[in-house]
Amino acid sequence: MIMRWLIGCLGMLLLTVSAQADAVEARLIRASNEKATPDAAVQDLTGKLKKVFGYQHYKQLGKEKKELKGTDVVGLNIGEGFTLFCHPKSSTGKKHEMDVEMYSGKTLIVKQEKLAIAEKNVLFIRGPEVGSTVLIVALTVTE
Amino acid sequence: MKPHNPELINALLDGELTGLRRWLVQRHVGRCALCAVEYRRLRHVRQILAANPVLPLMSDSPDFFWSKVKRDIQAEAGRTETVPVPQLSLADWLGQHRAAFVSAAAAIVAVIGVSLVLSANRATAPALAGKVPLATVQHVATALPNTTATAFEAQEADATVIWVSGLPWTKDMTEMQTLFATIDS
Repeated sequence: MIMRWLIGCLGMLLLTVSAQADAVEARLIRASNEKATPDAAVQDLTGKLKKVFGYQHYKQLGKEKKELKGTDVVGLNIGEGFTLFCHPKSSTGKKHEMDVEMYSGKTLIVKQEKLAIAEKNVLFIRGPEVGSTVLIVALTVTE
Repeated sequence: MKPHNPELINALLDGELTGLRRWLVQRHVGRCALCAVEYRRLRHVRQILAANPVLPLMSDSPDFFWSKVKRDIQAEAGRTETVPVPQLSLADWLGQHRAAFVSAAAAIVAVIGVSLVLSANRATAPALAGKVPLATVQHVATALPNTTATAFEAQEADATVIWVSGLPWTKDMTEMQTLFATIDS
């Protein structure tokens, strides 16, 4: 009885610790200079985006977030035919090292090897220009 | 009822059984030859004992014996006896307070676990409080023709940027998707 109770306590403790799994999130953003209402979905990134790319308006076109499970490959479908594949290599505390491939359909656009990214970090990938806009992918790791 | 239980037969003879139990035992004794023999044997022993009571042999008369006992009791009345208080060992104490001990152990384990989680978070806290180290990329490449990819850290924006230049321009999303579907990478 007492042993069962103790095992239960330990189980809850382990669950509490394991519940803090990290996740990788990718967003497809369209940058333009058109006059439009600011998109609340990218409000947290707008300041950084303006400093890097200089455009006035940013709109989120797609987003996907998936939990990182060891070295399992994570595929993120972010819309408009774009897919990111994250190949986690290692994890030290809150820092994750991974290879990232960005595809448009079946075409590999860009590949990053040994990307070391932690929580609060942002990685922007400047993609193709479409009309007077440019497509940007924002990659983050969240808890 | 258990078969051939002499204790129950004894109890039946002593009149200690009542109700259903008495009826069950009686029925069993009536049907079981072995128990019937035991019943008769025990009843016979009781009859012999009843017929020949054992008389206590006393050197004194009952009144005189009681007066002696009374005198001894009165003599002992003024005396005080020191009763030793049992001293508990650590093992005895742990045995008596087992639940409390296990609770304390579990609480310690929980505190250690929580403090480990907090210390892991605290280890990253100084970095977060100040300048956040940016994400780094060791190698970046593109497989598309006439296209280059460069990685740099935009310190003013606290972001790492992969700048892919030379990608073909398209007028809309549909054309872009169609175009990239036909590019051989």
